[in-house]
Amino acid sequence: MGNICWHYPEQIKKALGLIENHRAVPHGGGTHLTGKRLMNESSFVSLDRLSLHYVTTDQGSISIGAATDYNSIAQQLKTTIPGHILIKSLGQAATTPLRNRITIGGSLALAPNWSDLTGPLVALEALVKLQGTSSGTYPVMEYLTSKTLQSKTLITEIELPKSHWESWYYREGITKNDHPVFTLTILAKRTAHSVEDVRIAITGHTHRFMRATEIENQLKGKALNQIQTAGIASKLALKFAPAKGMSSGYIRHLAETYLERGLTELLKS
Amino acid sequence: MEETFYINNKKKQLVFNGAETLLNTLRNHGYNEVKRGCEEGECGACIVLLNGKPVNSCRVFSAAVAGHEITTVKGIGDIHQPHFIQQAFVESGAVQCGFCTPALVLATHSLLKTNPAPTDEEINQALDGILCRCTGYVKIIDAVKLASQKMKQIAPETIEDT
Repeated sequence: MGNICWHYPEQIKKALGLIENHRAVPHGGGTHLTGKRLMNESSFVSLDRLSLHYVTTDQGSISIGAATDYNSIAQQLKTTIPGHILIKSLGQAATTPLRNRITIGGSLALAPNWSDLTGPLVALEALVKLQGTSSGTYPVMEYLTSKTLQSKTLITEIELPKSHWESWYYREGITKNDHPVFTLTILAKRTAHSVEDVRIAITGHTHRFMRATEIENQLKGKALNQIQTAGIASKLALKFAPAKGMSSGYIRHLAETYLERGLTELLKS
Repeated sequence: MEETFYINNKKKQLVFNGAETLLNTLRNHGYNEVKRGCEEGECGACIVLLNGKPVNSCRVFSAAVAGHEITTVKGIGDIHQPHFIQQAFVESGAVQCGFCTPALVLATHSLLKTNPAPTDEEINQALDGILCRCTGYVKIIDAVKLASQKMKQIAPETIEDT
C-alpha cells in the first residue's frame, strides 16, 4: 500500500497553496479516492477544518458548502424547501452510508457519467464558487466544460438561484442502489393553463450531460391542453453507450419513454 | 502517522498509514467487531457510526476522520449489557450467521435516534446498503420495529451512546 502525506489547513488560502504548489489532492470526505490505487507519497489536503459543511437559504437562494454530504443536503432541504429536486436526486444516490460521505463539491469536481448530482444542477442553472487560479462564480455548465476552471481550483460553494420549480427526477439503474445508466431531470413552472417555463437535463449519454433545449423551447408558453408528449423525445437523437445487459438502442428507448412519461406527469397531471 | 480518535466515547491514539482505511485501522487496533466484507462499499458489513451517522469504514480514510467520534457495535452494548436494539434483533430472530448484524444494529441506532417511529419505507432507506444473505430481511425489519416499540417504554436518553 502506498502512503499519503496529509495536510489539515484551517484556511482556504493555505489549502490552495498546497493544491497549486504541491499538487496536493483536496479531500472533503468522499469515497472515490479510497477506491483508487494510490501512488506512493501522494499528498492530500483535508478540507475538514475549512468550515465548508453547510446549507443556508437567503431569500430563496440556497448556498451549499462544498464539503456537505448528500444526506445532510437532502435532510436540510426537506425542512426548508420540501419537494426540491435535490431531495429526490441525492436521496436516491448510492446507499445511506455512502450518502453520508459523498460531498457535493467532490461529486461536481469528478462529475462522473453516472452522477445523480450533475443533471439537477444543470437544470437548476446552479452557480459554482471557485477559489484558486480561476477564482470567481461560474455557471455550472461552464465549470463542467472548462478544463481551465477545473485545474488548480477549489470548489467552495454551490449556489442554487432563487426559484420555485415543480420537479421530476428519474434514474435508470439495474438495481435500486446501482450507478444510474442515465438520469432525467425535469423542472417546470405552470400557470393554470399554460407552461411558463420548463428545463430538461439528461445525463449518462455520450455527451455526458445536456439540456434538451429543443423540447424546452417547444413547450414554453404552450397551453397545457395542447401539449402532446408522445414521440416528443425522439427528436433529441440521444446516443448512449451500451451497459451491462442493455444495448444502446434499448437504453435510448428507455430514456425517451421515461422522459415522455415525466413530461406527462409534470405538465398534464 | 498518529492521530487522536474518540472511539466508543474513549479517547484513543492510533498509529496508521496515511493511505489506510478506517476499517483496517480499527481492526488493526483490536476492534474486530467491525467486519471486513467486500471492501468496496457495497455490502455494508464494515459500517461504523461517524459522529452518529453510518458510514462504510472501508471507504473512509482514517486520516480524514482524525479527531472525530466513532462508534462500533460494542460501543452501544455488549453480551452482558445488551442495548435494547441488540435485544430486539435477538428476540425477532433477525440474527443467523451474525456477520451483518453489527452494521444493522448501528444503522438502526442511528435511525431511531432521529426518527423513533419510522415507517417501513424509512426503515428500508436507513438500512439500505447492508446486505444479508441469511435472513431475507423480513425479521430484520421486524427487529427494527420491535426496537422502536421498546424505545417507547424506556427513557429517551438511553438511545444515546454509552
